[in-house]
Amino acid sequence: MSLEKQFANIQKLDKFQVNSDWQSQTKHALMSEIYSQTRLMKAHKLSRAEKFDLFMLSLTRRLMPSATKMIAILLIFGMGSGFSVAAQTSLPGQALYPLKRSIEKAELTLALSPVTETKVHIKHLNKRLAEIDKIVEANKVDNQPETIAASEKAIQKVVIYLEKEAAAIDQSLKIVKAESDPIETVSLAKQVTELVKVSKDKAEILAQQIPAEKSQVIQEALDSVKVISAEVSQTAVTIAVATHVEVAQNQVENNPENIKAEDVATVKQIVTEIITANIEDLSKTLQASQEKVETVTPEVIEQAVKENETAENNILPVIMGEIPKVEAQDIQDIKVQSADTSTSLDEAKAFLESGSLQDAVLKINESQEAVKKTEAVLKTIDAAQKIVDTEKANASSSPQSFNTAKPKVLPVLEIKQAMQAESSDLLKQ
Amino acid sequence: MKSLKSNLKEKIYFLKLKSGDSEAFGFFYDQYVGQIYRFIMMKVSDVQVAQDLTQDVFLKIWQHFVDQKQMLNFRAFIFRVARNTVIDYYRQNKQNNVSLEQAEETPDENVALEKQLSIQLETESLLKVLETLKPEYQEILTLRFVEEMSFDEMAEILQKDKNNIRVTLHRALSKLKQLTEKN
Repeated sequence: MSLEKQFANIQKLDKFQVNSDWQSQTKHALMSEIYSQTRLMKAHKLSRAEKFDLFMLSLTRRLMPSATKMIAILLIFGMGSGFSVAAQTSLPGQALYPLKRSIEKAELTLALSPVTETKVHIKHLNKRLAEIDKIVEANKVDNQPETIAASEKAIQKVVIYLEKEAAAIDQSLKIVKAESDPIETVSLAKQVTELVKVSKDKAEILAQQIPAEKSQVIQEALDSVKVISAEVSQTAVTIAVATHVEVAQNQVENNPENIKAEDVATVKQIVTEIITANIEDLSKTLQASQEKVETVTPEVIEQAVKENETAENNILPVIMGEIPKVEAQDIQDIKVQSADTSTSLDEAKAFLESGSLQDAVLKINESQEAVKKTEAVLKTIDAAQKIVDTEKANASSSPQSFNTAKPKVLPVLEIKQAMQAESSDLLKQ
Repeated sequence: MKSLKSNLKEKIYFLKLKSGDSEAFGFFYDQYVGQIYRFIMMKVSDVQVAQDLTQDVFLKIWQHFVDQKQMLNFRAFIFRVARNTVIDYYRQNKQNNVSLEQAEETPDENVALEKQLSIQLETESLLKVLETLKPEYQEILTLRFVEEMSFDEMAEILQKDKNNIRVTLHRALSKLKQLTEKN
């Protein structure tokens, strides 16, 4: 046996083979670690030569025939068949769902440019939303424990897929920014922000339709949809603004003859539209939370502070940074905080009007964080409100003999009147 | 040899990785985990240590991208990181383990090994002969013949001049042949 051959055989020795279980576990651990980092990491700016390389390589590879592509074409052309049509309406846990996912993967394989790829991901995200809609609808009609359990499992799966689609949109938008023309990039970013707005609104509507006590899991899944939507929206806005800054800088500093003034204006126009929509959306959310804040009574705030001290729920989302940590001071200062957010949003509008898009986005991000905090505080307050209500209802419905410790038992009507009086006092203040 | 298509695919993923694509990282993990594990295992001969160090190597690679540092050839770079990780490991565990420097050829063992080699020179035996060589020779032979690397890649990993690599490789091969032919 030649020396070379013996060397080559070293590769095959058992002791140098990596354990497949360890390999997949380590991959999973590494990917989850870097996945959390990726969201924080801004896309590394590719050099012009690298951008060109990426374009040429992608083109060459895409033009090459491959088994995957043949299967993809077969799947896409087979979409007209009865099975495929049925698969399109299937949900996780159903027999045809894997076929639906395979067709989606096939669509991605056939996407010929990063722009198309992003559009395909957007389409898939829409599908995930439709699935969530369907699951929640089914859950409203059927109260069987098995159906609820199945819906919970299905919605959790859909949220995982939705998160993957959202991450893919994030990534492909960055590649679009590196490779494509600025107008295309900002238009796509606008499309993404519009879509995630729909997804956030949908999650909110559905969350209101399902009572919290009916399914905690579904509520949590809908909350995740809101968090994911907000994150994707933030990335899309950041990319749009960065594109605008780059285009404007290029025009001023480098080669004004290469960039048309109309193009810069179009980019600015689209980015302004994105930011305006963002401000409007945030204003609505802020208004809704302000309305809630105004009805909060000092008694409920006191209860919320007490509850917050002992609450052990939602520790994981807090650690993961998905929801902010609520301190006693935050609950007490809820009204001041909500007014401050309103001011930052006004500042964002002012910056936008003066044409300073970057500053406007900074203010929006600030307000978004503040709204997030207010929402987290309101959740604690909601829970406290329920406790207070229950205590009051118990006190009023229990017979006198069992409540000897309590000096006075008010009828429900009187309690309501008292609460209304208290709220109106607060409003006056 | 890698096919043109897999080379092309790797280049695309490399550019994607540079733009912070975590999926591209998954691709590189699948491509290189076996090779890096083998490279480290040949140096440390302990499954647990090799697994830990392999994981470290991939984390370091990701960190490198997070820090947005430059990298021209992924393959050469990951092997360089693996090599430095092993060196760091030996430095930190000097007291407990035989260091790379200490693992020089020992004449007594060679005699026994040479006798063994005279009976059969199969892969396992070659590996044992290889282990008796200087770490520098072991490394250069492994990279060239086990990992099938080019002189350019080896120069980048070992941070040496290409001509220097050629000379060292020639000496390493002569030494190896000398040891095997004696038997």
